[in-house]
Order: sequence, then structure tokens, then C-alpha cells
Amino acid sequence: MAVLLAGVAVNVALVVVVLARLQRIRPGDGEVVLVNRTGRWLVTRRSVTVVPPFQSARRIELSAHTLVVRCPGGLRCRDGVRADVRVVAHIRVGDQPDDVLAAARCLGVEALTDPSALRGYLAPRLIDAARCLAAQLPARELLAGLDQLGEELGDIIGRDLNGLRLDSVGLEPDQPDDTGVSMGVFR
Amino acid sequence: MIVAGVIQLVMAVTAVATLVVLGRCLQLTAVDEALVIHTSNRLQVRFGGGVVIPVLHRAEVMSLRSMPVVVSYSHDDAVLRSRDDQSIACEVVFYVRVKPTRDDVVAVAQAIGCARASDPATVAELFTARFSEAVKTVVRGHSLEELRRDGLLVRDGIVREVGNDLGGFVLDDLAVVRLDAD
Repeated sequence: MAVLLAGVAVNVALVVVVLARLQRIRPGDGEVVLVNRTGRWLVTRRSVTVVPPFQSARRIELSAHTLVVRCPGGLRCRDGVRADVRVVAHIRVGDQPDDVLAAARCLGVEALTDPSALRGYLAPRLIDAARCLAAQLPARELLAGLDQLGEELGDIIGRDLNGLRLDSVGLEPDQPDDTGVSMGVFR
Repeated sequence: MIVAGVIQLVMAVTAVATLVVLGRCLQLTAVDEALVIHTSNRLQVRFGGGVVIPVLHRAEVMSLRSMPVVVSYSHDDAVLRSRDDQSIACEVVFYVRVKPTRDDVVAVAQAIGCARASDPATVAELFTARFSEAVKTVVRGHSLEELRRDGLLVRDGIVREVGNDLGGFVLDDLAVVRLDAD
């Protein structure tokens, strides 16, 4: 009888221990949960229950970020004139589970919510695209039509960057020397 | 009665012991890492986590993140020349990462090791020579006028020149940040 009771007690203790370890992870608005079920990854917007140490979960905030990138030294236009512009891009992590996984895999989870990390990752591509675009147009035309060039710039960069989505991108005049003029010759 | 009790007790204890041991041996990794387990005769690769048995196994973690490799030439170097013999200054950022498949992770782990493959400085050192060569070849193939006119020319040329075989790494993307004669 005593042995039977001891067996029951151990079983109950086991259930209690497992239940006590369970964690409930609730994503807030605009967040997803990235769950690691020992090698099987799950991305969801719903609350999930995880069992440490066999599973782990992290919340990821998926807000949009605005990146402003200055082109150092200006851009050389087709007519050889320098145009001082900056690239303004709105980016966010894609909605699909695969997007979140791809972005987290190539940047790390912390970087997805860190504007300066995202900026460091994307700035060279934004500058590259602006450089390519500027090479096709004379400076006057480029600066006059800045607000219409976003679409073209987006096509050069590509809309999908390892799970990051480029919502919109555009060029703005940048005046480094306060003369009110965004163009000049190369020194 | 006693027999049933003993069986139940043994089963419960076994279950607890199994869970505890499994929990102790289980190693989970972050999403941007691969777990490389050295067993006595081979390498196992797990994405997310796996069982690492003490003494028999040794586990290492390899980063799967994209790492930048910067190749830059200034005028002072005067090394980079276009076809019409103009000195070119340029800065190209390459993004490389370990391809997240079993075979590629094994190849990288065997060739350079997990710790070195996870260190951006070491990875940059590994690829700088090869990427510089590609940049030089492409720039040498075009005149300054061509380079200035077509922004994508250099990028596409470099992608072709570098190729796909980077020993388990992939060239994710590259960006030509600066390219001109002045």
C-alpha cells in the first residue's frame, strides 16, 4: 500500500513539475512569437505554450522603420554634376512566417527591432541604387523629379531583401553646405 | 498490489530521470545559428537544437548571419585601373553567409571551423583576396565612361566573376557604394 502511494505521489509530483515549468508567451499588437521546438521553427501571432528546456520562444516586434541614408560625397549624375541627395526608405519585416524566419536567420533576432543595425545592413544597397539611378539622369532632371523616382529606385534595390520588405523608398535633397543648392561640381 | 505499486514507482522514476537527462543534454540554439555536433566518427548538424551527450559528443555553434566584406581601393593605392588606364577609387560591400543546409555547414565546419566561420573579421579576411581580384578584373575590362554610365555593369560583372562556389558560403548580395575616378 505504501509503495502504491509513493508511486502515485511521484507521478503527481512529475505532473506538477512539468506544469510549473510551462510558459505562456503572448504576443502584443504588431508582435509575433518565434518558437523553437527543438529544431522545428514556428512563427505565430497567437499565444503559445512552451516547455523549457525542450522549447524556447522569443517575441519579435514587427514595426516599420524609416531609414535615412546620406550619400557620402554626393552622387555623380550623367552630366558629371554632383547631386547631394539622401535616400529615405520605409522597411519592415514581411508578414509571412518564412519572411520572419529568413530575416531573423540572416540578421539575428535583436537586429530586426534595432534601426541602427538595419541601417548598417541596408545602407550600402540604398546608396548603390541611388548611384545607379543618378548615373542615368542629368543632375537638373534628377533634382527636379526626385519625388517620381521612388518607384524606379525600389525596382533597382528589389522589394524583398532576405525577408525584409521595402514598403517605399524615395530621394530627398540634402544640403550639406547650407547654400540651398543640392548640386555642384566634384572637387 | 505491491507489484503494481513497484511497477508504477519504477515507471515514474524512469520517466523523471529520462526527462531530466534529456533536458540536461538538450542544447537549443538561436534561429541564426546552427548546432554542429562532433560525434566519434562524423559531424551532425542541427538547426535549432539537438541532444549533446557529455563525453561522447562535443558541440559547437556556427553563426548563419550575413556578414559584410568590404573591398575598397583609394587613389593613393593607384592599383585599380580601368581599361583606358584611369585610376579608379571604389568601395564594394559584399554580403556573405553560410548556406543554411546540412552539407554546407559541414563543409564550412571542416574547412575553417565553427568559431572562425562565426567571426566577421575572419570571414572578411578569408574572402577579401578573392573579391578584390574579381573587382579588379571587372574594372579592368571597362573604360571609365562605361563604368560611369551603367551603374549595374560592375555589380553584375562581379557576381559573374565571383561565381557560386564559395565552399559552403553564399554571396547574398553586393553593393557598389563608390566607384569613380575622382
